Amino acid sequence: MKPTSAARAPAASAVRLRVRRIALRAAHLVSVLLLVTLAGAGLASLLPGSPGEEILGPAASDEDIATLNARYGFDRPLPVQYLHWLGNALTGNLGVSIQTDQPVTEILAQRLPVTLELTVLALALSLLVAVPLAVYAASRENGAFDRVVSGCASALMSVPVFVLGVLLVYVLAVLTRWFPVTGWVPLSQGLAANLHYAFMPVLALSLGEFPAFYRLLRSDVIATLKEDFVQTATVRGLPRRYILLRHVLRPSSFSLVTVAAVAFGRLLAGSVVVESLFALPGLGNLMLQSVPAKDLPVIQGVVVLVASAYVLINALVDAGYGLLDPRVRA
Amino acid sequence: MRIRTFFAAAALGALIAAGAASNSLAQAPAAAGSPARGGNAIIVLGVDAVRGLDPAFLFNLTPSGDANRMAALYGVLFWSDAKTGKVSPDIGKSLTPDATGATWTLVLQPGVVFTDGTPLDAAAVKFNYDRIQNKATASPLAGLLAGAQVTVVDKTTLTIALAAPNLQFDKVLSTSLTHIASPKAIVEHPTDYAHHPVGAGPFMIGSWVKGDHMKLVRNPSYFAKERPWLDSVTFRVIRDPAQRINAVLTGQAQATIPGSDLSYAKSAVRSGLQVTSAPAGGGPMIMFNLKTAPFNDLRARRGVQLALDVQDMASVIDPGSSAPLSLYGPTSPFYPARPAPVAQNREAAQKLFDELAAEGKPVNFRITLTASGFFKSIAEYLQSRLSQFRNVTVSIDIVDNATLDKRVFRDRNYQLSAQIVPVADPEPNLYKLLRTNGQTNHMGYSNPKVDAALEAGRGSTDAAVRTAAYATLDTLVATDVPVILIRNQESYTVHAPSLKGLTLHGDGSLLFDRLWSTAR
Amino acid sequence: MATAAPQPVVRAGASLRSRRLVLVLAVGWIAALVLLALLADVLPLPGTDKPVGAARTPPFSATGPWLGTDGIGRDMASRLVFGVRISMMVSLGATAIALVLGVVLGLLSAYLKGPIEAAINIMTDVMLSFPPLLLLLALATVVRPGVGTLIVSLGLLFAPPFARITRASALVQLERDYITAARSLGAGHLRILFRELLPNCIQPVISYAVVVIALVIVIEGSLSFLGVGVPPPAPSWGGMIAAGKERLDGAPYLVVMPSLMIFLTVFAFNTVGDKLRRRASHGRSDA
Repeated sequence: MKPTSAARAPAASAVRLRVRRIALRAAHLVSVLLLVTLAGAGLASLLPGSPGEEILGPAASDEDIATLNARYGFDRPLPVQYLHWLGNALTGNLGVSIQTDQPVTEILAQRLPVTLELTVLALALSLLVAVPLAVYAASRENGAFDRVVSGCASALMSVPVFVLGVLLVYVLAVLTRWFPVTGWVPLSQGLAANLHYAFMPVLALSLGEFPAFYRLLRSDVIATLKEDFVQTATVRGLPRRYILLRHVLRPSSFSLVTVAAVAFGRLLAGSVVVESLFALPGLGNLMLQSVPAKDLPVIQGVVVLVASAYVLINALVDAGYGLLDPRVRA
Repeated sequence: MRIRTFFAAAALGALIAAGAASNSLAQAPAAAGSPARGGNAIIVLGVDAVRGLDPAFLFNLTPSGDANRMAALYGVLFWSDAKTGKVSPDIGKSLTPDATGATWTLVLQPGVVFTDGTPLDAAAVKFNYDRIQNKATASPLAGLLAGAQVTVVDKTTLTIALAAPNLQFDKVLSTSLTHIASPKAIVEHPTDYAHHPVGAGPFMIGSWVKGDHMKLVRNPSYFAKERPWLDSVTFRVIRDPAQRINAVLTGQAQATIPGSDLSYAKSAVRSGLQVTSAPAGGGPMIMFNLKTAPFNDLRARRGVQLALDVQDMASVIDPGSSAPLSLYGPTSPFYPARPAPVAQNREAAQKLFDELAAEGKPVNFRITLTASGFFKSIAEYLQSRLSQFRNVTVSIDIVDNATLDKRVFRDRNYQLSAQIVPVADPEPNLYKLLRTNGQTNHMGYSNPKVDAALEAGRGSTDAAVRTAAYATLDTLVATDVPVILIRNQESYTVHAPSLKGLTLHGDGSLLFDRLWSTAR
Repeated sequence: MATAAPQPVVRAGASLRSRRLVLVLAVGWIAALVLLALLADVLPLPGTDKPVGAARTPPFSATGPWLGTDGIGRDMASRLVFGVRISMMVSLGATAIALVLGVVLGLLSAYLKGPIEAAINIMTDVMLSFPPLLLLLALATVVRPGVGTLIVSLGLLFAPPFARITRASALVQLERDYITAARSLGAGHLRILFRELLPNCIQPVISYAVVVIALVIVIEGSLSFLGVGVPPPAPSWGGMIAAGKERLDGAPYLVVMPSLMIFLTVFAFNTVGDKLRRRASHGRSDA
């Protein structure tokens, strides 16, 4: 980004630049959404089974199944089904769930807050812990602290999130009864209750994300610490903490921010394992029950939602690169 | 002085007694064994009610799914004991056959109404059964009433004239045709009745948040005046079986059905919970495909049968369970006096395998099963034990449920697989399993002697005749080996000690009007 | 009074010795894994599918095999050793594919502004926002499960994160003087990309690669529950964890032992990776 030179140019071309950039972003979003939904329809159609088989069971006759499938438009070729869905979606009609007859927008509106809250809290917790630990460990590379925390990070990497979840349940819920085993209380019913139920799943998710954040930030900080401007600042007598936080952290955050965005997309698509274990009514659980039943409207709905959110976050990250390190233009 | 004290004491005593008496009507008895009104129960199931609650589409009676929801919402006309299969009346007063079992007369309790006010009378039952028979409905239960003629005799009586005589039809009706829906509601919602269910059961829908919970509240017009005891029943869904038990353990729920694994029952009891169970016969079983190589040859099947140690198999696949010694459960009247299961004989098994290989028909086969822990263990167990023999090669194909349904149950494109068939009474499940072209006879098994024994068992109510027929069946199955039973079936519900009155019916669902709670 | 950014060279004595010990152990572990993978067939171990005792015998018990038996009664030691092959092959193979593909795409998208960058970004975003469950299930139906298809599909799945990380690093590096200098000296694109840009972008990629290795080992195990992973009874560490998680309360060692193997391997890779980085950067720190 070169805001300074553009600002001196006539205002009109600056506006044109801004508009052009927004148009490019919009085009990017639209292309991604089209491709993602096409992929969603295509991949879902590859899956075995059909709504008819799921509803009527294995003993049903072929004609009955075909009749039921026809009712849901399953007998039409894939491109026709997709275009039909697309036409509706463009007017805001995402269709109705094959299984429950609820409008897809309603289902998404119910489920999104849960997964969104989980995602945001898990990332926040993970970053809150990873950033200070990584910076400190990197500043004392290979010291006792660094080795212990890196060891913990390696240990966390070696254990699947499911096992972490089960252990947390055992310690925090069954043994001590401090937290509820499963379930979810929406924010509308009280912040305290909501956090009480969210704590364990958020903890499990953030423990899963922590190793990557820690390792990446640590390695970037170590690299940045070797740069000239750090030496200059040190020689000039600036206190270490100041150097680390004000000068080193920002340019070292590129990998971290990038991976955090990737993690956001992945968690938003629904951490199926955690949502299933803790019986959380989020997008992950929704996918888990919609995919085997080939509930295409719901699948496409989730795909659109997650893709839009992810592209948005990514756009922010790309813009953020410039904020982190002014030399960069994304 | 003393007289006044005496009268004062008597008055005080009377007051106390009166107070106590009036209290005992309002409060629940502390630890007494008699049910009282009040209390709520949260029951955790394993599968969500995504397809809605239409009795015409209930083909899967697994208690961790819709079968329990339907029992709460619709009640039961008749119910079959999950242990013995014995049929008892409920909303239906009696179900009696004529001499040959060709025509059955069903009499209902008088004055039963649905929660929308319409009567559950003979016409309503006929409406439901006609709807099942109607091709347009595409009900999976249509085969059960194929060719049957349902006629209303009077307000509470109807006759069912079957296409083929069946003296055990009450077992079919009490398991699969026992939930009756309100015709008015069905007519009002012709395409999506499943999401607006109306029944006459002990509970009715209070609030239903799809994907979260279903709260059912007491039906004030339930036909049994004092019941149900509970004020409400809430169904929640937790996929992970261990978590279901944890929920009950920590007080988040009062009961749950953890699923096929019996090991959960033991850990639940160890943690202080209670288990109500119904040991039955049948259960999970290995199925051979008798229509394709290598198991179209009896020797191949015998080889596998002799190679396995069934006690070891049961204890490895489902720790704490025991191997079945017969087709029937230990509490069944048909359980043999001296069970004679086929003992393991590795030399004989090896000889058979060698013999078949020498003839150019080696026992090489693929196991097709799903990834669920239980079935995956079965597959790996078989592969592991058979790997100790020469001339046997086993490979494993893990597929998802939809593919399994298609490949094994519809197309019969498999060599060895497994299914779960509980057998409380031999009817109807054993008939469906072993009869030529039976509905769950995915093995392609056909033996006229077996068919004859099944017909004899179906066509008689004489205990001696049935015992003889079913004993023959036991021997024939052990000799022909179309299936190998893996472990004794036992459906069970884990519950908090405060929840009482659990009675298991069908494949292990609860009778909801009998549940009561000591907790308030 | 100003405390400088610490210089590792200054730390000496016991710390240095213990550091060297850890490094030696790490290299030794990796070498041991390679040896086990190559020589597993020759070792005196029972077959990985043969029953050797009562199921779920804990390790170090008086009667059972040395490391116990799994849920089917098979030898844990044997399955852990043979598991090295599949776990290492799949994880290293998939990570390598993801790394190479991702780094190339990332570099190109940062370097070649314009339509190529747009196309690469679109593809990356599509893959990163797509629900993985759907992708893996669809994969399961289309391809025959096996080590080869697993390596390729997991490699493709993990390429986008590598691409984004590389791109982020490259965006920073492209503004640096040495790039401008190289350009003005007339260096060709390939030279700039691979001789100047790549070495300076590779550091976070290496760090992330170790994370991905661990992740792939574990994911491969859960994939077997979707029918996508390596078909049973072939042992893999991830598969052993997935199978053992049902019995965490009764037989926790079924999960602990394969997790321990993964932990030691990941720790070893991390240690060696750190050492290599320090070696590499020492060579450049005086630049």
